[in-house]
Amino acid sequence: MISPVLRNLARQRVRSALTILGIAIGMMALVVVGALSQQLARIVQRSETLQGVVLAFVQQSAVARLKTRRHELETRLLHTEGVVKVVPEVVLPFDFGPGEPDRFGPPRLIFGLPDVGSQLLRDTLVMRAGSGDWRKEARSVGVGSDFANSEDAGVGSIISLYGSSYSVGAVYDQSFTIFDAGVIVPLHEGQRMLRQALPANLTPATKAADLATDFILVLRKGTDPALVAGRVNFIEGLHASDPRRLNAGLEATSRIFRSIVFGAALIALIIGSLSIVNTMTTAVRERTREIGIRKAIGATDGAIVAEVLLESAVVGGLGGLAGLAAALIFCAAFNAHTASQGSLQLFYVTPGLALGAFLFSVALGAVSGLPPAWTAARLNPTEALRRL
Amino acid sequence: MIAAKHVMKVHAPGTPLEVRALNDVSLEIGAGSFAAVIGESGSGKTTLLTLLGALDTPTAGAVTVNGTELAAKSRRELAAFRARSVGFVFQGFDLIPSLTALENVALPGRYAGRAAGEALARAQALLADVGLQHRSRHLPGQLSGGEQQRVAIARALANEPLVVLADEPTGELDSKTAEHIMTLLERFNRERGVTMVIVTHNHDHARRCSPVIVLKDGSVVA
Repeated sequence: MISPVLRNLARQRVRSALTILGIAIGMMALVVVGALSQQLARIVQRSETLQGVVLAFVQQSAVARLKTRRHELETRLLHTEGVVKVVPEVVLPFDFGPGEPDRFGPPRLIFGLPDVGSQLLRDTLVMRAGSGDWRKEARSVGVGSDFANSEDAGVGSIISLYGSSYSVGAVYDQSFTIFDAGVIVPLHEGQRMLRQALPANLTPATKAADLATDFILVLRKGTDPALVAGRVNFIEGLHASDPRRLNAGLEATSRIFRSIVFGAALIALIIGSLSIVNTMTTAVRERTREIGIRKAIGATDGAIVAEVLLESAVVGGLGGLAGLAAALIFCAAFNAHTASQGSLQLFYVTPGLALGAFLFSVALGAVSGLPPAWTAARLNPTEALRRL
Repeated sequence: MIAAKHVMKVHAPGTPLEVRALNDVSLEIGAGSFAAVIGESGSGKTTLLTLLGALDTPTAGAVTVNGTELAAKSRRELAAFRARSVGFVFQGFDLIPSLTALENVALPGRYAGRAAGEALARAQALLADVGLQHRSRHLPGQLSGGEQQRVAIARALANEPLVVLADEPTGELDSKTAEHIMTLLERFNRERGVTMVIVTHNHDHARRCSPVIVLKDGSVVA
């Protein structure tokens, strides 16, 4: 059934190839933008999962870090309605090199977390290599996948953080969260680095163990995080983000990307459609006598429509496959490049996206074939047979 | 039996291009006949063939096949009639270029609603009957003119039609191949009892037919 269609396409190789190329370009654009949208959706979804575990982050102002003892703040947070656990953390920028501004994605950070903090993230951070006991080793750290790629670091590698050397004890799988580009160190190491970063005149008066830049709050089941965030914001020196607002922002970005996908699909639809309509109209005109012959030997109008539609659907499908293949190669190459830099991987081609794009191209081909198919079907057999 | 009664066909009526192709044509061709239609170019031979084969409808008059008037049929019914009851053979062979010889012969069977396997099996047998089973996988462009016309004859017989309408079937062939094609048509007429109506310029071929219908300026003159 397909062989005669392919033979027909081969009769006008250049025209068929150009039509298929036109659809392939449109489909490639659709798949690439779709992959970008899918990746964003995955990041949003992982972020929501992470919030489901952690529930709320509270930032401490720089002044508060110095004026207020960390334990006092922890106590006040613990007495806030809805909070069942308060976990302090230290977040610092990685001591990056000159190439850092060229990276995609979130900044590379150092997370100083206590044991309990790591346990909260155990569903988010899955170990790819190394030992789960790395925290028990002195001067041992865990690193995210993007960080490991950017620094070409594996288990046992030595990395330098704020002038001190650390051994990589674990490398985590990609989690599509901020931790991918980060280094996780025990809390006391983070506090030591933070103290080191303070101005020299403040350093003598500040104990490292009192320092924290943020707090992770674990909330009572059923508590509205937005309400807790509101309550926390009444505590001087603390700022809590409303996770719903954060999610709304991410979802708004996601919506924009979906709109871009829709726009790309529309462009692909118009370009691909017009090129198929043009090709099939020309093909029908060239094959007028052939259509007359088919009618003479018994083809109904429906059979003629089906034959033209099958051919245009095959053109669409071939274009779709070519575009999909090109998009897969492009996304894989781009992702490999950004991964080697330790940057965020931008594209995620899901099986659903690939299948959807292919089916869309077939449907696009079939729909575009309708006008010429209808023209062919309505041809008068005797008129058609007069054509040479 | 095929009959035409007072058939008139006017092309492009009411326009400056109006042509009266057939004028009050009446004829009868009995079942199983090996008939010829002869006449000069423009005498209306091909137009008559298209009306007998339900490819077109007369401006006036009626064409009946086995007592059924074709003008009463819908487009779909006419397509079904052409698929099951009529076989066409054209001067220029007119095989579908993207289909192999076997697929070309099987095509009317598919249009008549036969299953693919059945249509291909019948096509294979017909190709064997015209001596071309070894060429079944070849495309029309890979066949000689005589071979293409034999494939076209096999295609015309695919659904065991009541009538085969052949429009100058030997017009583009050398005399030896033309003789071979005429012999083949005679054989199928004799062995299968299928009515043959052959439009021809060749008087030698016409002499082998009966009845011979002579057209001149759109009218039957003999």
